Amino acid sequence: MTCRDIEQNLPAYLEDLLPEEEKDLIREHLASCRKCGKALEDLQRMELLLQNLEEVTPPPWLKQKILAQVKEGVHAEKGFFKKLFNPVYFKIPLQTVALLVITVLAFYLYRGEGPELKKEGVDIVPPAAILQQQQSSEKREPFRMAPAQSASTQMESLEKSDKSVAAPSRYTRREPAPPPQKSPLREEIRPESVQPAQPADGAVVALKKEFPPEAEEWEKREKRKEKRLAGDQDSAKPGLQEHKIDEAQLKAQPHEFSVASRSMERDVEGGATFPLRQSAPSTGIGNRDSKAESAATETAQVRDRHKKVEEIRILLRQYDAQKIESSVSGEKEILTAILPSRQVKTFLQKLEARDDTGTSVSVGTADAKQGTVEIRIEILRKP
Amino acid sequence: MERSGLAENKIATVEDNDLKWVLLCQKGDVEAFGILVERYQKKMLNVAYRMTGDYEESCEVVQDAFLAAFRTIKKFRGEARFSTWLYGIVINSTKNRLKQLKRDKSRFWHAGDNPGDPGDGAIDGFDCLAASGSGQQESLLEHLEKKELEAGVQKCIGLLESDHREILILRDIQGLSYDEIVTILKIPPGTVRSRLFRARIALKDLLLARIGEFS
Repeated sequence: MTCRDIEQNLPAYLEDLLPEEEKDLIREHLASCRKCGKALEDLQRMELLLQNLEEVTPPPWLKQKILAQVKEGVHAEKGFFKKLFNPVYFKIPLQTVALLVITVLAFYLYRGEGPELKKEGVDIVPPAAILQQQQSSEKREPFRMAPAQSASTQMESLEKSDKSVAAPSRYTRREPAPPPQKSPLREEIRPESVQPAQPADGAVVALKKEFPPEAEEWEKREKRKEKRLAGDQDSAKPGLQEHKIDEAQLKAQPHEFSVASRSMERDVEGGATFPLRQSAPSTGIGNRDSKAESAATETAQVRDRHKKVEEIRILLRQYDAQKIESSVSGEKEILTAILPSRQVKTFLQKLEARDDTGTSVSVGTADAKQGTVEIRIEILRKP
Repeated sequence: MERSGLAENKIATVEDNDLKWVLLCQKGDVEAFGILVERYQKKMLNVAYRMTGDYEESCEVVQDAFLAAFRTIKKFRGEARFSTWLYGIVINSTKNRLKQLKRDKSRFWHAGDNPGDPGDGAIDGFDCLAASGSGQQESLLEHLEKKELEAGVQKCIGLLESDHREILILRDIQGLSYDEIVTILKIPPGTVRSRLFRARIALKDLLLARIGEFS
C-alpha cells in the first residue's frame, strides 16, 4: 500500500469506516511514514477548522422580507379569485361580451326574417311608386307620389282638384307641355318617360284594393294636417303637402304589403288561378314559387289575364270612357282611358268590387275645363 | 460515529419539532412560517453563503428558497425532517443561482480563477459575523488573523467542484448526518462517503497550497 493509497483512505480511517485489517495496515504505515502522518494531522485540523468557521448572521430585514413576500404571495393567490369576480376584471367584461352576443344574435335573427319570408313565398321588392319617386328626385323636379288612400278619400281630393287649377299630369311627355285643352295623357306611357307633374292636391293617387283601417285612420289624420297647413300656406306651396303625401304613402306601404300577403294567402287557399307573384307594382309583393307551377296553370293565368283586361275595357266603356288605350310596359299591361269626372267615383267603386288582385289603378290629373280625368290601370302580365 | 448519527436521525425524524408549525403552514398560517424562518434562516444562509461565497447573493438565495418552501409546503409529507427538506431546497436554489450567475457573468467560483479579492461579497459576509463569535477578549491581531484564515478557507471551498463543495458543507460545516445528506442530495450512501472523502482530500491540498500551514 503506497502513501497515496493510505492518504486516500485516511478520511475513512478517521471515521472508523474501514475494516480492521485495513486499519491495522494504515496504523503501521502511519507509524513509519511521517508524510502520511502529517496528512492525517492536516485532515484533523481541517475538520476542526471547518467546524469552527464563523457563521454569518442573517441581516435583520431578511425574515421580514421573506414574510412580506410570503404574505404578498398569499394575497396574490387570494386576489386571483377576487379578481375573477371583480367588476373590473370579470363582471364588466362578461356583461360586455353578453351584450355583444345578444346584439349579434338579434342582428342575425332580424336578418333571418327575410329568408324565412322568401321560404314562405313572400318576396318584397321596392314599390314602383318609390322607384318613380327616386327617378323624379334624381331629375330634381317636383314630384307627386300617389298616396295610399281609400277611394272615397281620393274622390274628395279629385273634387277639390276639379275646383282648383288643373295641374299637368304625371304622364306628360318630356316634350313641351301640351295645350291645356288637350288631354295630358299620351299613348305611349313608359316609366322612363314619366315626368313629374306640377304639384296639385290629389292630382295623382295610387288606389289600392284594400286598406286596413289603421291606414285609413292614419291617412285621415295626415289629411287633416295637410288641410291645416294648406289653410296657412294655400295651395301655392304644394311642396309641403306633397311631402306629407309622400310620407303618408311611404308609411302606408307596410299595410299594403300585409294586405297583399293576405290576399295572396287567400288566393292560394281558395285555389285561385292567379299566380302567386301577382302583387301590384306599388306593393311589389310576389311569390317565387310561381316558377314551380305547371304550364297548364300558366296558360290558364294568361287566359284569365286577357279576360280581365277585356272585362275592364268593357267596364270602362260602360262609364263613357274615351281613348281607351292598352300598352305593355315591362311585366305590366297598362290600360289608359279618359273618364268623365262624374263617372270616376262609381267606376272606381265598381272596379274595387271586382276584387282583382294584381291590378293597380292610378287616377291622373283632372281636366277641369273638359271635366275629364285620366285613368291608368296596370295589370301584371307575368306572375 | 456513523451508527450513532443514524440513531439520532431516526429519533429526530420521529421527533420533528417543526411538524406542528409545518402543519399550520400547510393551512396557510404565515405566522407559523415566520417561526420556521426564524429558526432556520441562519443555517440556510450559511449553507448558501459557503456555496456562493457572496453574502448578498446568499441572502437572495435564502429568500427565494423560503418562498419556494412556503409555496410547496403542502407537498411536504413528513418523510424527512423539515430542516432536511429545507436544506434540499436551499441547495437547489443555490445551485440554480450559481448556474444563472455563471451564465450571466463568470464572477464566482471557477476552477483556476482567482475567486476574488478581499473586497468582494465574501468579505461582506464576514462583516456580518456574529458578535458572539468574535470575542472581545481576542486581540485585534488575532481577530484579523482568524478572519484572514477563514477568508482563505472560504476561497478554497469555492475552488472545489460543485459536488464536492456541497457535500463538504453539509457534512463538515453543517454537521448533517449521512442519511440526511442522502435525502438531500438524493444519491446513494456509498457515493456520499466516497465523494465526501475525495472532497476533504481536495480541500486539504488546496489549503496547503494556498494558505500553507493552517492550524
